[in-house]
Amino acid sequence: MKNKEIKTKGAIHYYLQSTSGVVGAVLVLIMVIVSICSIFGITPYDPVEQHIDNILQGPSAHFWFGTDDFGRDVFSRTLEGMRRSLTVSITAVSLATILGVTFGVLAGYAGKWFDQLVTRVSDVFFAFPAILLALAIVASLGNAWYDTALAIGVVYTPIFIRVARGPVLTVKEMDYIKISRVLGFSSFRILRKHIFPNVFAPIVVQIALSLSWAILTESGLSFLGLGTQPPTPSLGLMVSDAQPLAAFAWWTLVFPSLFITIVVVGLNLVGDGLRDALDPARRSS
Amino acid sequence: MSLEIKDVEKLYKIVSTDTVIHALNGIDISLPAGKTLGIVGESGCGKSTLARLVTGLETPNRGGITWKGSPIHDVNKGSFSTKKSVVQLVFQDPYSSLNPRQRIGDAISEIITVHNLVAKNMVETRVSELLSLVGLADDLKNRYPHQLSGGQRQRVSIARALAAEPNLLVLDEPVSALDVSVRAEVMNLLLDLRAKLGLTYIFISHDLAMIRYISDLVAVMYLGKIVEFGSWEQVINDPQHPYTQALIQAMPDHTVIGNPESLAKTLEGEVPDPVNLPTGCAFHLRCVKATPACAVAAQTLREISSNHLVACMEA
Repeated sequence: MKNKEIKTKGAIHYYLQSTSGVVGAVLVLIMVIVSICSIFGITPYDPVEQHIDNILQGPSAHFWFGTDDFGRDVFSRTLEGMRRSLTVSITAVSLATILGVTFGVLAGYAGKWFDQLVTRVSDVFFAFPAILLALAIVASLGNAWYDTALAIGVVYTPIFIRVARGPVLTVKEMDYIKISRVLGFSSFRILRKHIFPNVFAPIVVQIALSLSWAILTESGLSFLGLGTQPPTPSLGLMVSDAQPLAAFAWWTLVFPSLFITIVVVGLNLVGDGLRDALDPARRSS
Repeated sequence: MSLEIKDVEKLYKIVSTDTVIHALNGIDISLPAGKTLGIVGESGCGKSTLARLVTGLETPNRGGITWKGSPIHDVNKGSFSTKKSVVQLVFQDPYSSLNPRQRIGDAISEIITVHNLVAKNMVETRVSELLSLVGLADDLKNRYPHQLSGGQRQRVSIARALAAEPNLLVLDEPVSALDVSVRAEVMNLLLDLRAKLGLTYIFISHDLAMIRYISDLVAVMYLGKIVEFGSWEQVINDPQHPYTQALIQAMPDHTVIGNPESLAKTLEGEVPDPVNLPTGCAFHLRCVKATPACAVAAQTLREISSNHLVACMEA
């Protein structure tokens, strides 16, 4: 237990030394906090409430980000949309991580026919463009947020299989793994104590990057009309709806786009920071 | 006799080219407990394959390996059991033989706790005992491998192997990767441990000087076979097989270094392809004493003097 504490502290210490990591963490944290606000209804207005006499108003003291063509408050909708995007993205990436890392590590360690099977199946998934495959799955499942999350999760699983399997192939050939077997350790112990901690770093970085891609994929699906359905807001849906309005009501397009950009950039920076913090070779410099 | 290696053969099938590599072609060794067997030979002669078979990492295609009459524990079978092996292993590379994310103390205590070798409250004491046994300071316990030097890492590898309380220690080129200055220290440590704990060693090396320093018995391997076997005095001071003679001639002698006229005679040519073994004596293609008969008749070990075995008709 004591060891774990020191190890985690070490990684955080190195993480805080990386500028991009700190900036990214701050950006993501702001986004998470504002989206939590929307869970408790601490938004200025109800995101679906229509203020009929205030249609397409520009940003003002009353409507910080203006209103859309139904007179709905863009600020409240953006927060609610961010929360939905984050929920879908976190659920999807959790699913992809659990499935992908389990299959990837087992395939890499077991080898032989199981590895062949897992690799071939994930190759088939890779053959389709991510958004197209997600579209097909959503189209056959439904439009609920968990259907979208499931679709994105399935599409991202092969990425995690590859990211986990590759390092396992390298690590399992190391002498300390052979010695662990001569010492009579069980396969489970070898996987848990000797292989997993050594393939952990790239997986963590992949999680941070995938979260940002998943937000884009969810936005893309909503934009194409297959994710979140109106009047429920989602960042992608808001961008889609704002397209015909952009020429005379820029705020309907700019603010949701800005939020997508901030969270994606933030998560990418977190990914960079984690990569630096978890890699001993980069640390020592 | 304690370690018995009987007629061991190991083949590796390469599926893609449908060929078979003959890594070991009938190895017989008897090693009394408490003695050290040095195994010497060129790269690819099967030294490390033999190490993997003796430690149970792989199983022979033919023949058997026993310690005091019972077969060596096969680590592949029953890998979920926590049965420990009487044989332990130290590898050449001190950098890949320790888990980079495990503290030194944890690496040593893991084997003790997994197999319940000492009472729970005695584990820490036992780890300290092992560290001092291999000449390491107690505070190294909390360090990670990358904070240690190559020599220190190799001592940790030895301590970890000893933690399993083995009878036989297989040392696969344990000092080859170390600085020359550290080599002697580790070699002396191995000698000390053998005396203190009554261990039996199999010491694999391509360095005859190290083999001579530590071994009681020496086996010279060539292309998966033992070509000469005997006490170190017999094999190194009175080599009978042309291959052993060539190996000894190839040793740089410090008294003649810098004198081009006494440059060591080196072996010509390469080790033959283990996929297509030569007919007759495996060494005849490179042998200075080869006769036409050598290409026909396979050579088996025969005793030329007391316990000195040579596989050569010319010897």
